[in-house]
Amino acid sequence: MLRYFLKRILIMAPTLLTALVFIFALSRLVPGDLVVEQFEEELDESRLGEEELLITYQRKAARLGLDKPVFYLSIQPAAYPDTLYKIPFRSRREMLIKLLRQNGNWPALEAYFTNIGLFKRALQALPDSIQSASRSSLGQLINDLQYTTDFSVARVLVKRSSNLLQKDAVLQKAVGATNAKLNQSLKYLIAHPQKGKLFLPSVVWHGFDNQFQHTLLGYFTGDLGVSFQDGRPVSGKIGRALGWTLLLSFFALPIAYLIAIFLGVKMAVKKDSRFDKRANTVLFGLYALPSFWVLLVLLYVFSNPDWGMNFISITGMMDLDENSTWNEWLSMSTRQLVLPILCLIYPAMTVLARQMRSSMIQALNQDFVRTARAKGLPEKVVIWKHAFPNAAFPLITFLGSLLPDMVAGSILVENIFNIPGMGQLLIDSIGTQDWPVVFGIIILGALLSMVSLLLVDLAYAWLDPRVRFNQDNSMAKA
Amino acid sequence: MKTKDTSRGYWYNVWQRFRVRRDGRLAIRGLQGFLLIAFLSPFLANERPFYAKVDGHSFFPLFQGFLVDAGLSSWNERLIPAEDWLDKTYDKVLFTLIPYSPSSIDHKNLGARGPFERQRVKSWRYWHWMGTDKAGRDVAAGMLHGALLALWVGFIAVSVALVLGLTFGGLAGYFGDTGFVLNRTTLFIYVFFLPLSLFYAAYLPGNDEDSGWFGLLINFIGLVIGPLVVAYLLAAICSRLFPHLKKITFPLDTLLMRFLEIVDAIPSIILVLALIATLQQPSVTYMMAIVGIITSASLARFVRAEFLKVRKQTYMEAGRALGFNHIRLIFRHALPNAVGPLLVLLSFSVAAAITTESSLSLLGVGAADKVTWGTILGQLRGQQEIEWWLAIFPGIAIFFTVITFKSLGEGLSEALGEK
Repeated sequence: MLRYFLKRILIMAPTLLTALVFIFALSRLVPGDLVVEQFEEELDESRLGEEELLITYQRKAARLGLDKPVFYLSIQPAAYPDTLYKIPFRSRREMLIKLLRQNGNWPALEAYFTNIGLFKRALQALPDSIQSASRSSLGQLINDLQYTTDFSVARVLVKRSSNLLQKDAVLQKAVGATNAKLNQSLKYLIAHPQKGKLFLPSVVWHGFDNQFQHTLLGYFTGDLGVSFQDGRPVSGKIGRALGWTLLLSFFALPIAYLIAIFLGVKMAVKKDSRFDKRANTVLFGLYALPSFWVLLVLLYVFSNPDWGMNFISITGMMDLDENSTWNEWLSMSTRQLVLPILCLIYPAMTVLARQMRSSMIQALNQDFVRTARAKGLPEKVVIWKHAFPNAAFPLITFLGSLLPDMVAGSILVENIFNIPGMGQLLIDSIGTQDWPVVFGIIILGALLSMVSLLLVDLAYAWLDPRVRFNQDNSMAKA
Repeated sequence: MKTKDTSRGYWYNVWQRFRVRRDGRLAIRGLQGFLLIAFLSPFLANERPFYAKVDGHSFFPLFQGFLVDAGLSSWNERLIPAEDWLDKTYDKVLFTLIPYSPSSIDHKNLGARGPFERQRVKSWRYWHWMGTDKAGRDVAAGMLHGALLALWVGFIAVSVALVLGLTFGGLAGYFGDTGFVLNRTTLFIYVFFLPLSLFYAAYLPGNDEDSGWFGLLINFIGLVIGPLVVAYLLAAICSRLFPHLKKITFPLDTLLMRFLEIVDAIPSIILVLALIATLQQPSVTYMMAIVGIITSASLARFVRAEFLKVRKQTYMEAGRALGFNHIRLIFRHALPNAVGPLLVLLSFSVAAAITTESSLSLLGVGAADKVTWGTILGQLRGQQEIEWWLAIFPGIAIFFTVITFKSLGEGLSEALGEK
């Protein structure tokens, strides 16, 4: 048994690792610039100067660990710079890439942008005494130049700035040289494209100090990062919410199994009777009834003060606070949790009962059942001692998919009944784009379903010696 | 009913068995009604009238509307502005049964008016029979058009799942762990060219706005498909020239199963939610494509199992012995024998897709671009007071659609199983 258990764990490990890699890849697909989204106030462009803005961005990115390369290596066109990830602001990164894809000459493009920066700084450094219309329009021009992704537009803008400077002698003296440099670098850039380099793949090695390694090591040590929303550790946040979700499943799962077993067995024993047919119809109806709709209707009926049925409140568990006594807490939670648990029970129950019925019918047709009856055993013993244990195996298999299903089902239940569990946390985090929490929940979901699959396999091996024997046998052979 | 008419073929027999079953009858009736409503919905609920006479000129705005939406026609100036069809003055006009489109806003009945509450309408002809929703849109129109959208939802999810599931499941099941044999050189060629084509797919150079779709297509064919074609040709030449090189069996089946294990490890609804959250512009179509991708995992597993079964049949052996190529064996022999069970799974998948769409809308993650049954229901999210007409009507519609597709699946599986 122990050997079997260890073997199963060994098989699980690579799957878990690949799942984590997959989740990490998914987490990098998130749209938008995470740094900008999290520190919107600190990165106020109108308040900060250009240089200060870039420095702040880099500091904040370092705090989120986003200043590092994503993976050990990257495969990119040879024209791309190795340190693309270091350029602050995703929008600027994308703009640069857009320009680069048209031209392919990175050193020239870099020189061009350096000159834009120099020109901008020169304009800002002008003494306040020089105030003219052309100065402000030059400032506007250079801003446009910074964000254009079209070379023909850039050329027009640079030409216009030269024209402006020609008319204004004071400005020409102050920034004429930088403007000329800018003009020259743009001309050089357009005249020397290296498009061939865009078609050439190159592999860049970034080393071990990358996001992938840090995140994955964090996952293994249980460190899922900190929430963007309030800066608290994700694992603590999820842990608190997980309690509620597990509480719901903890009650719902056994009850669903109990009802399903008794109903299914009774239906199988009285196969084709009126009871069986009616129960079958009802089960099929329930099975097709979307659970979220049942939730809404139940909530409507039982929270309606007009009908004198305000047993539960829509604000849900939020009414409780730290000052409530355990008594209040208990009565409140039982009242609030009955309906959600009911809603989790019935979809699981319908599937299980139908499964139980068909496998029980199969078991009752077996020879050993006939033998048991021929021995004169009472019908109860025949059903529960002889037929049922053999029919129960499919139900164990279902446990593997039901546990994660329950967690998934609780997403709806918790959101509608306002229970502060994992499902609500997930939806809230998606709404506020709190990605560390979202991906933490995905990891936990993956772990939960893997553990439940493992439990199912172990239960099988424990209950059915054939499984264990075959496994050990095949191992001995190998 | 169990008489077999072998002259009429296999599917005739299945159909005969299917139509006499209770769930079969239910599915047929349900599908007829559902499809009828879905395809007639533009003619049952539309703000554009069938026929309108303005200043002595006759127009057919409803029919012209299809052309206008497609950009093939433009409205006559007498009909402009082409909104507020209800407030225009006509000499003569013939509206559809429900003179509202699902997205047309009735400004006089904002904020969810019930069907039995006071509605500010001109006459009973303009009454909102199923009330209005929060934004003042007619629920009845949304319900009717919702049928078409539900069909679309199911179609997208299932077709995406089918393409992916059939490809991967079929390959894994057909070749198994031992069937996919490659020459060592061939393998080396593929290992070299496949990443190259993936590289160009990721960084397609010159794919900017100015290149247009044709340029993009040329680029794609040249840079992404090109390496694959070159690899294929080189591989073919190599295997001709050096037929005695050492062969390597490629364990396709194990690879797929390992991959599916990972996808299965993450509860599907959580994965769907996270994937949708990474979309920049959520729309019903994208959402359902994601649901389809997730569904394809179970479909691939199923197709694989079916193909593994079919693979061992004697007719496949006979086909191989006769020297049929893989394409012919797959499409003419293996696939037709897996179609029946596949249909069962697909009808369950349609039902699941419709349910998933509604529950996503209810969670507020759904798309806001179209009025679906789910989005009507979804307006009740986090409400202090629940407007019953926003819950009951979509709920009943979803229930009947789901039960139709589920009984289609059940009936089919029974009809197929009775051999």
